[in-house]
Amino acid sequence: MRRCSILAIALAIAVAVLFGAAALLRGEPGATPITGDAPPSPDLRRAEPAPQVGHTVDAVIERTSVAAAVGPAEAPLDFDAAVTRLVGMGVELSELVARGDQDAAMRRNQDVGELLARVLTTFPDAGERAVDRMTALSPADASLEANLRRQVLVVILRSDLEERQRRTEKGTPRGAVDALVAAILAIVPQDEPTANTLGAELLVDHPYLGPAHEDPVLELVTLSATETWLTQVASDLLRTLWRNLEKTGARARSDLASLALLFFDDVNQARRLAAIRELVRDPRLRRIAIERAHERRDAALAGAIGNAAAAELDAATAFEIVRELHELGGSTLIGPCVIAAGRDPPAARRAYEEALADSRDAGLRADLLMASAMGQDGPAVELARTALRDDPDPVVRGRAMLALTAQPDASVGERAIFDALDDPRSGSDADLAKVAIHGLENLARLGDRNVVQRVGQRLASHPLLAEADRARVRAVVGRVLGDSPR
Amino acid sequence: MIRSALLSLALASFLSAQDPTCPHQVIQTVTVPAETGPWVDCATPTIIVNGVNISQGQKGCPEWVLIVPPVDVPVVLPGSNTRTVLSRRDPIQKVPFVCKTRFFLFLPIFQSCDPGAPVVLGLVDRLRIVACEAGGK
Repeated sequence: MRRCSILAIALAIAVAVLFGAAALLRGEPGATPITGDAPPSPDLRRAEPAPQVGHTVDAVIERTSVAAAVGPAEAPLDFDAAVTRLVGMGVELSELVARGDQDAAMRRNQDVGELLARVLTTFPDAGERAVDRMTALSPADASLEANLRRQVLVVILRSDLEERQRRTEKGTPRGAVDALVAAILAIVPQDEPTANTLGAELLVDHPYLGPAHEDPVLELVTLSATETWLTQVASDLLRTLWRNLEKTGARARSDLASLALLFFDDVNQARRLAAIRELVRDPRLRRIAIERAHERRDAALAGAIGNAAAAELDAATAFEIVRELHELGGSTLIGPCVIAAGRDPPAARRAYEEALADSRDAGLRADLLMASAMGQDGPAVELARTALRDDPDPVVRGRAMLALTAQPDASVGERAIFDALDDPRSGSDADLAKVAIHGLENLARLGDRNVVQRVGQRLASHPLLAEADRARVRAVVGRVLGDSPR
Repeated sequence: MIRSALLSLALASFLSAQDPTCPHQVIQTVTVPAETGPWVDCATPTIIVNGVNISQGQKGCPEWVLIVPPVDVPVVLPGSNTRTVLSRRDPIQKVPFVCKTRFFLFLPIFQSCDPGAPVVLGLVDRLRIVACEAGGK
């Protein structure tokens, strides 16, 4: 009897805890907060309102210390439980969106934002905690949960960095920003995803790096000599540091220019790339860099100077530098042409037209034309048509033809291929016919059966094409017409 | 100093006697980084909740990526007794990307940046090295 009484009391206590937790999860008034340090029992987990989503959500919520993370505003917040809860909410969001329940997704999204805001206001060291938790992530783990956890930690870090920077700009000493940035720099070499996520996305081209970070950034640069995947990030961090030091007056422009000149010949690629980006900003130093590239007959250096010019200078100046270097660097300068053309399409068209008028280096014209005609607007199409008609070089005309076959209107590309093949200058040019096969493949992606059939027939009977090329033509046509497997 | 100059002269004379028309070329292969078109928001814009700025800040999805094959540049190397010839032509490809399901929510998990069918915009010559034939170019 006595034993039965004890059992009954124990059962009553368990039921009370169960209902208390359920009320807490529903946010009902009067619910007793439960701290998140103790793991929830299976019964407590089941007490959470059943999510109207797929099994993935259940799986994540199984690992969530729910009471700690989603209790009422006055409940103590546990950092790790909150992160885990944010991950679970992220999975839930994805499921809601996949189901098309946008209203519920927007509501859940607001919950996420509010919990995140609580994390940031509750933990003054949220950024450092996020950095610490990121060291435990495995780059090999590509599961949804791992990706979400990484994203949640990055959002916390970014928000904390921005908040600390705001305070610094209002007069608070830099110490808080410096400490968090130093913590981030310490884990940048952890692995490539971390370097890209934390180094490239959070620090590069942002104002956070300062005088306190010269040593750790230089250490990363040194490390990049052996860990070559760090090269670009390390170089960009060094460049960002220099710009920040210049902007804040911590270092004079002349000091940085001297340093860049020193690093221009450095065997370390990261230091060298950062130096080139600095040197091209100054007309006098830019001249030195270009002359050295010519003296050494170094195509890779020509490409690097071109890339730096396209990133740092106005498009017209960048094209002028590309023109000076093209004979040396050849198609390594396609990238700079494309970057500058994207920023200023009319300047790119002018650069091509000037090169055509001067009959300059056909390779330069081919790259300028490709960059200028990549767009899908009227001027791009018109320029490609002009080049197809007027440029004396068959390689340039081939690129013009390809640019037109990349347009969304298949008839534009069809006409370009026929015009090129009918051009008397191309009569004995087997290379142009081979380029036209690539044009046919470009057209095939648009799925216009009639166009593909007409162009295919013309190419399949081209006298200068080898049998293997004709077979390729027939395969493309067959794929589009549906009488041949992909 | 004089001795080394004489040695250089003798070496040059020997090489030129060996094959006066050989360009003595080798190949410098330069890797060209991929370029991207304008980035579109495929993730989350700035969200401010309770005065806290929650910005994902990711670049999102590029409209396209241009893939340029490595570029071979002939480089003179005296004494190599080699020249470069065309080996093949590799395509320069523009791969379009599309951001699917545009939502401005907290996490970009339900957006995907999907590649489309590539288009070929040009061809790049790839070279190989051959020995200069006796008396040849």
